[in-house]
Amino acid sequence: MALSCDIESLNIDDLKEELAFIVNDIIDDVTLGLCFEVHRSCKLGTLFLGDTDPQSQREHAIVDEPGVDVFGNPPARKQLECVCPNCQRNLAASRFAPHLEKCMGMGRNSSRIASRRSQKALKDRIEADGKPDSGDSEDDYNDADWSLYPDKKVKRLKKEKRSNSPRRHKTSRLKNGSQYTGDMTAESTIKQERADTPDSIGGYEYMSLEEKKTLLMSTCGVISGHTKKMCTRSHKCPQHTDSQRRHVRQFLLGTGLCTDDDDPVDIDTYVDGDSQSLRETLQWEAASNTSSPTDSTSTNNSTSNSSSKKRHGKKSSKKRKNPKGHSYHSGSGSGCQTHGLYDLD
Amino acid sequence: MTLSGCQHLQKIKTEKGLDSYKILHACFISCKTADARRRKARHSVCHTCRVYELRLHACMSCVYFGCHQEEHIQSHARANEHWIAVDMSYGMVRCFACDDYVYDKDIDKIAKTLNYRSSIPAALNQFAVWQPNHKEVELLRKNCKRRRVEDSSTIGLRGLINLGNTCFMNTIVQALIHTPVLREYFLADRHVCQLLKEENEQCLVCELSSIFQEFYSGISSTYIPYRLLHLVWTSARHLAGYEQQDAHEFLIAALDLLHRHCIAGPNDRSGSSPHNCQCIIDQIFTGGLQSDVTCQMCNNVSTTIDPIWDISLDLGTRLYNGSNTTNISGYSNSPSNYDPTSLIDCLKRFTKPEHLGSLAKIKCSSCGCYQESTKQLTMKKLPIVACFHLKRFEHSTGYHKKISTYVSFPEELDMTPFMSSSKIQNGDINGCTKGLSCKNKYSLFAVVNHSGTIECGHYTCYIRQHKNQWFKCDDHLITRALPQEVLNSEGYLLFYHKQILEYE
Repeated sequence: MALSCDIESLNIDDLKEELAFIVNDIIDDVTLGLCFEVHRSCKLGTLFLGDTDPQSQREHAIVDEPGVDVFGNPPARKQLECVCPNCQRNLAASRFAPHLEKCMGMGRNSSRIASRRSQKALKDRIEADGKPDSGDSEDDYNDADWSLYPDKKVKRLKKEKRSNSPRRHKTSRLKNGSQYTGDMTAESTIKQERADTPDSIGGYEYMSLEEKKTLLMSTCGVISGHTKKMCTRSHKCPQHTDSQRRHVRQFLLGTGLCTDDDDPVDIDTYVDGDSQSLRETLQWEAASNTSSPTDSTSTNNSTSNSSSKKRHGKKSSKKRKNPKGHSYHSGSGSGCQTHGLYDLD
Repeated sequence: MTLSGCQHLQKIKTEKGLDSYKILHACFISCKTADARRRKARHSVCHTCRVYELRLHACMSCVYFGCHQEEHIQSHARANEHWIAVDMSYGMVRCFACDDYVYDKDIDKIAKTLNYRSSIPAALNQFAVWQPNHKEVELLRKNCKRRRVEDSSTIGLRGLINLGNTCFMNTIVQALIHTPVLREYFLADRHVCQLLKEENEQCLVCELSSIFQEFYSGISSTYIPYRLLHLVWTSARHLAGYEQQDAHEFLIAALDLLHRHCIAGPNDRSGSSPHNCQCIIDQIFTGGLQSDVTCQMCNNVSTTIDPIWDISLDLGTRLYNGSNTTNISGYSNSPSNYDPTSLIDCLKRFTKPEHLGSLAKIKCSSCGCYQESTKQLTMKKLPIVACFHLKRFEHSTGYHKKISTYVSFPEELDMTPFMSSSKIQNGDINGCTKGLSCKNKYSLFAVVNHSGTIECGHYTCYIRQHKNQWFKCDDHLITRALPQEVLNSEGYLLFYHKQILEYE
């Protein structure tokens, strides 16, 4: 505006007056703009175009009464179904997570089932390429969700496995590089009831450094002097001590892991010198290697972990909070218990 | 009425064209430079009474500016039969023969391009009012059912079924769905998937987008997030498995996955660096945490700024590595072994200078040797949505427990005291930010709660719709909640959003 005359020469009252003029002018200007907007939409017939129609308004009104939810439905849960994206079968939605675990090959027995499936698929591909696999019979056989007497059957199968099928599947799984990361984490959730079977794998001599790292990130990994196999339980595995675990990592990955503790950047790492810090160190290591395009599975896993870790800042990396049930707590007994808690309505 | 103006406008269009309108618009309505604006100020007066007036109109047929108030433009129009005039503040075209403002397609087009051109430096006008075109109007008329988030409507609310220990996921989905800025983004259909058609089933952003549509579709039946679970399990193997998981861990993993899938496209230049990523997740959730490490010997400060998605706050008595802070002079004003009782307390402790102790000497760049030092964290850049994570789960050596102490948190939070900029001034400058402090104000919009023990438990969350309507989401069950109920809840993850968004 042409108001840029001498502001100095104005006294305070004049200044206030000018200020009020400008403020009013701006308000008028904005009001005029709104008027034009309404006029325009009115003229073009779009003014009430976006408004809710009374019927929908009534349909979606909030119900605020005790005993029902906002939609007016009683809290009783309807049995909902969904289709598993992995195997395209219908199943109860509330049982989807336990099913998917098995279906994707992560559960107690499902690693075997899944590896058998993948093996079968591989065989099929080799023998008769092109012919789609329609044989669900064998899949269903082992899947507790789908068999008639799930418990009995699973137990029987377990016995069979124990007696005459040693680790044919396991070795094949190890060769199947893309598969084993998931299976290893699954192995770590193996429960008490399987404690008498050897939770261990061999063949670590043939793994690459990268593979070993990935494996050690999720498992205990202590090599038994007796069977020369690695323990695949979780880091909290009660059979082995932390020093044993540290030892095996030094042995398998070479030195340099523990010396990292002197790095002044990671002040917290060596404070709680338990398996947690070891695990973090490993993840740190793996994260710094992500540029290598070789193994996509571990990259996915570790970078997402480490990025969250870095983002926590140094202050917070001390304690990692996982209020989840630890794997060894949710054996057959407590597993039911937790499930019961989740069914609360 | 359509966009074809009136007969008088049509006549002038065929006789003279719209060059005069273009010039008027460019010089007076959408002027770009300071010079042009000065010229506008000088010339924006009525040619008859020589007075500045708001509703000034310019004649389209000759050079004449007249005011509407004193009817100078009207008399000019009648006297010369120059019926068409242009409003000088918004560029609306008025016909004095029809005595109304008229709208024309070509005029709209000129105004639109000129407005857009002038708005680029200011970035202000680029959010213009949506003008539905002919086809859209037709469609809207035909389908008269509307879904709109209104005061007492359930639109935007939907229960999520528990797929078996997946309440941790359900609470995070509810919180994300009710994040205001994220909702605008997805309901405006802004996500363009960069993946190939056969791959976009693997895109978590697409999946979230479809969940948004499900929530706002008006369907009230329970939603089954089974595809989301499958997608998360296949993309983040560490979260896979039929187990109880930590909601915070899931949140971070979900944000990370969303961020990755946003930038997965080959033609994206931002790359995977989280520092300058412009994906929607980073625009909304990424803040900058400044960490100042001060050498105790030479007071040299080395500063680093890290991007953060959330702020994790300690609740228990803090354990230092070896040394005790209370011995350090200067920073002993508050004892370090008290339990915080409010979010503000936690944040104060979070941003307090911390002595790193004699065991954690850091190499000082100016002294050139290892020195004891102090570290202070402050907020360099505030995110649009701030997630606070109260560390209720303590994992000391061989000892896990949940801290259930009550921590109060406000509905409105001012982050100004925790900014890097206010730390430097240290409150010396007499509150110059006081008046403008609503810039850093936040409002609570979601609270995730955990009940039970560290081994097993249940997650629920409170979410806010509108200004003050709260709802409790317990898996498939959605009920109304009172604000007081929300504020009295335990609180595990607290989501705040900024009250005022700035143009960048």
